Formats: sequence, C-alpha cells, structure tokens
Amino acid sequence: MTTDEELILAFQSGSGEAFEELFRRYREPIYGFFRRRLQDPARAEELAQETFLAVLRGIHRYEPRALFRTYLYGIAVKLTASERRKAWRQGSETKEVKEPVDPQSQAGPEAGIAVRDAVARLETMDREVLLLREFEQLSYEEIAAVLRLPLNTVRSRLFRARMALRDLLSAPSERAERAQI
Amino acid sequence: MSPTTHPLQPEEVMAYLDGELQPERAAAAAAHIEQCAECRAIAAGLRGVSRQMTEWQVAPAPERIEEGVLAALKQHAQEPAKGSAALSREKSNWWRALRMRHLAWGFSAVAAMLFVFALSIPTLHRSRMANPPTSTQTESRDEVSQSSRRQGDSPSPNTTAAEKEMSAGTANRERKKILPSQGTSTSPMIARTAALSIETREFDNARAAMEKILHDHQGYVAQLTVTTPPGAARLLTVTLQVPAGQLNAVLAALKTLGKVQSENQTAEEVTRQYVDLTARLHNARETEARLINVLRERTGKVADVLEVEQEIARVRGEIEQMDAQRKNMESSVQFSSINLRLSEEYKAVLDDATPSTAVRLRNAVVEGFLVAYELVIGVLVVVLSASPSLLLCVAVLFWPVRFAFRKLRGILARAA
Repeated sequence: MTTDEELILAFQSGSGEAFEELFRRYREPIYGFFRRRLQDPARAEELAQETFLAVLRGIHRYEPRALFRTYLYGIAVKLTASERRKAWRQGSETKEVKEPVDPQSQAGPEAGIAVRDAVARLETMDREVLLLREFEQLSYEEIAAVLRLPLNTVRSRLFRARMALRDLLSAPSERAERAQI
Repeated sequence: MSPTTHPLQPEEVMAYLDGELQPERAAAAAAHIEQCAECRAIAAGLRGVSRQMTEWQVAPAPERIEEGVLAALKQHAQEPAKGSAALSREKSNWWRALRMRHLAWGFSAVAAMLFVFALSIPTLHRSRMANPPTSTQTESRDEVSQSSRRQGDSPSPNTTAAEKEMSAGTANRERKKILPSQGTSTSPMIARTAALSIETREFDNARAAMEKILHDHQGYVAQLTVTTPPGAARLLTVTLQVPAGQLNAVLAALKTLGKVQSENQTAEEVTRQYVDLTARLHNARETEARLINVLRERTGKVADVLEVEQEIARVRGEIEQMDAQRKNMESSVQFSSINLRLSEEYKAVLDDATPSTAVRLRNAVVEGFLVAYELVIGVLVVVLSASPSLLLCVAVLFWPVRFAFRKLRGILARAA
C-alpha cells in the first residue's frame, strides 16, 4: 500500500489521483474530527472541506519532513482554533460538543451521548489530547507535534484525561469501590 | 503505588497499552502487568475507557465534501500555471503580510515620532518665546537691584530712617565771618576735598560725635543721608563743609570715630583761574562803567541809546556770572569738602521669627490650595496647548492607521 507521504509527493508532481486517494483515506476521519469538536454539522462539513482545500492550496509548501497526517491534523487543529476564536469574538455561544446538544441532532448512529458529555467535561487541552489519541489514532509524538506540546506533557495529560473519563463514565457504585481501593 | 514497590508507573501501563513503549520496556511491562493486580486494574480501566469511547460514533461525511474538494482539485489540475500563480500569490501574500506587519510597526513608529514631535512643537515654541524674556528679566532684575542700591545710597521713602539736612543758610552766615580776611589774597589758592570711610560699632554715638566735631570746627553739613535697611548695617553718608584750615583737624577727629576703611584727599590749585576770573571781572566792571558814562554823557539817536543799554545789560550778566564763579571758587578754597561714609559694624541678629504652629498649619493649607490650583491650571494649560496638535495628528493619521489596521487584520485572518 502506498503511504500518505508517497501520495502527497506524487500529488506535488502533478498526480491528481494521488490527492483523490488521500482524500478518500482521510475524508471520514477529518469530518469526524470536526464533528466531534463542533456542534454544527454544517460547519463541521465546511471546515472538513476547508482542510482539504488548504492542503490543495498549500501543496507547494508541503515538505516531507513530517508525516502527512500530522500535517493534515495540524491544519484541522488550526482551523478549529480559528473557529473557536471567531465564535468567541462574535460573542455567540461556541458550538462545541460541550454545549447542551439538541437530542434530535444526536439521534441515530451518533450515540454515546454519555461519553460525549463526559469528554465535554474534561479540560480543553486534555480533551484535545484524548480525542487525537482515541479517534484520530495519533501517536504520542504526533500529538506533541500537532499540539506543540512536550512529549511527556502529552503522556501525562492523556493519562489524566483517561483516568478522569473513567471516573466520569463509571457507575457511582464502582466509583465508591475504586475510592476504597 | 510507589516506584519502590512498582517498577512500572501508571502512565507506563497506559503507554504500554498504546504501544508507545520501547520493545525491551514493553516486554518488562507486560511481565509486570501479568503479575501485578493493581496494574492490571489500571490497564483494565484504560481499556474500558477506550472501549467506551468507541461508542461515540458520528455520521458519515456528506457527499458534498467530496464534490467541493474534487471540483477544487479539478480546477487545480486544469490550471497548474494558476496553481503556481496561486503559490506565488500565497507567497506574496505571506510576504505582504510580513511586509504589512513591518509596515504597520514602521507606521506606528513614525506616527509615534510625529506625535512626540507635534507635542514638542508648542513646548519648543514656548521655550523659544520664553528665553528672551528670561534674559530681559534677569537684566531688569539687575536693574532693580541696582536701582535699589541707588535707592539705598540716596534718601528714599524705602529707607526706614533717612534724613536729609541742608543747612546752607547757616553756612552762608558762617562763611561771611571768615571771608573778609582772604578777600584778595595772592597766596596760592587750594581747593581741598577729602573722602573718608569709617566703620563704627557705636553708630549713634559716632554720629553725635561727628556733629560735635563739626560744631567745634565751625563746619556744616551740606548733605546727610542715613539708611537703615532691615537685617543689615546702618549707613550714614554725609558731605561736610569745614573751613580749609580746619580740614586736617576735622579729619583727625573723625578718624577717632571708628575703624578707617578708606581715606582719600585731593587738592586742586585754583590760583590762576581765580586771578583770571578777577581780571576779567575787573575789566567787565570797567566796561560797564564806561558804557554808563557813554549813556549819561553822550546824546544820540534812540536806536543808539537802546543799543548801548543792551550792551550794558549783556556786560552786567557776564559780571554776575563771573562774580558767582569767583564766590564759588573762594568758597571751595575757604571750605574744604569731606565726603564721610560712616557705616555700622554689622551684627547679625538671630531672627527668632519662627511662626507658631497655627500659622504654619494655616500657611500649609494655603500653600496646599495654591499648589493644587497651580496643578489644575498647569494640567489645563498642557491639555489646551497639546490638544490642537493632538487633533491635527488624529486628523492626519486616522485614515492611514484605520486602513493599515483593516489591511493587517484581513491579512492575519486570511493567514489564520
């Protein structure tokens, strides 16, 4: 199987198919990335599209020093941050998943409301590290590169986030048992 | 769980599960977790979290994303030149952003300099305007001090105790007593003047003694001034007229009044001038007598008579002028002039003028109000003097700054 890096280099050389392949590989993960971080599905869709367009526009700038997905998620993280800033500037409620969600919009396959709500209660950076690890399947090193954090910080934050989430998701009885231990 | 009992940190358990440990460390971790119930519990918890998180699923991406991206790709493929153009545009955008940032900084710096310059213009102007008056002020202050010094020398209402005595009447009487003996003397005529500066401790006594000396030697006071400035020594400036023969005796007597600080004597021989003046006076008188005879003995036209009378009047005027000069000369010879400066030895008095606490408090309050008032006025002056420049700066810089700011914000937003 051709690696992402080979594909992006091929696209740099003018192969449109290479980019299509990359898009196919990352379409769902990138949409999921935004969908889990933003409440508005339409906005998530726009930003997912914008991420690929940014890759397209900046293809000449890409240098194969880092993994493609680090590069791709780096763009996605920046777009998310920009979106949050914009929402904060406009004074409107941020449309992140931590906000109360319309149950109808979360119906169907978007289950795991308890998980989502528990994740929303985590500290922002802990949550970001956790999501990048659990859903985007990035390695610690990649997370450190994307979020520009030291590797040890990533590890400790991830552990903290997971432990907090375990406590939040566990039943009260289990929590009591764990407290006794 | 401590490192002494557990060779594995909890975070390492997690890293092991995530496959983030080095192979050797991973093997050790696996072995430990198998044996350690606590670490197994942590691992189970972590696995449970990961498993639960998979429940959070999201809907598949809409097809529209693909449409948009592939359309952009097609456009990108069709216009590779444009792509490179886009690259260069992006680069140029980037450069432009950088340049704009530098430009904005530069612009801000220029604006700040302009602002400072504009602020300093009125100040410079003021200082330039203020400098000449400052110099004239010092000059005028000098003049004031000079005039005050002059006032100190001369009698004025400012001097607390100033006296001026003119006793010319008595002097004339005394002079008549002496004059007959020297009327047409041919001995050398010498006009003597002396200046004496004396410092005394007992100012009042010295003054009384001076008057006694003057009386004893038949002298008189031509002019006298006493000044008593506050916080300084008293000063007596007097011009004495004493008979010429008594000058040395009077000077000797005056020197006993205190410490002589300076003495000066001048003698001017006026014999020739006196003789000349006497001769011319004699001739003038003879001319007058002849003219009177002419008028008396001769007869003629009215015009001639009037002319002779005019001539007599002119000659009489000359005679009176010369007579006055001669008398003045005789006087200066008969009476010597002494300019005496009698100063008190200054003893500074401890000024126990410390005001009372109430007065000091009152003064402090008044001064405080004055300072506050001055401050308010000063602030108002600064604001009023700076406001035209500020308004000008704002008027000039508002649109460029607004334009630059908007441009910069747009570029930054695009870059983000």
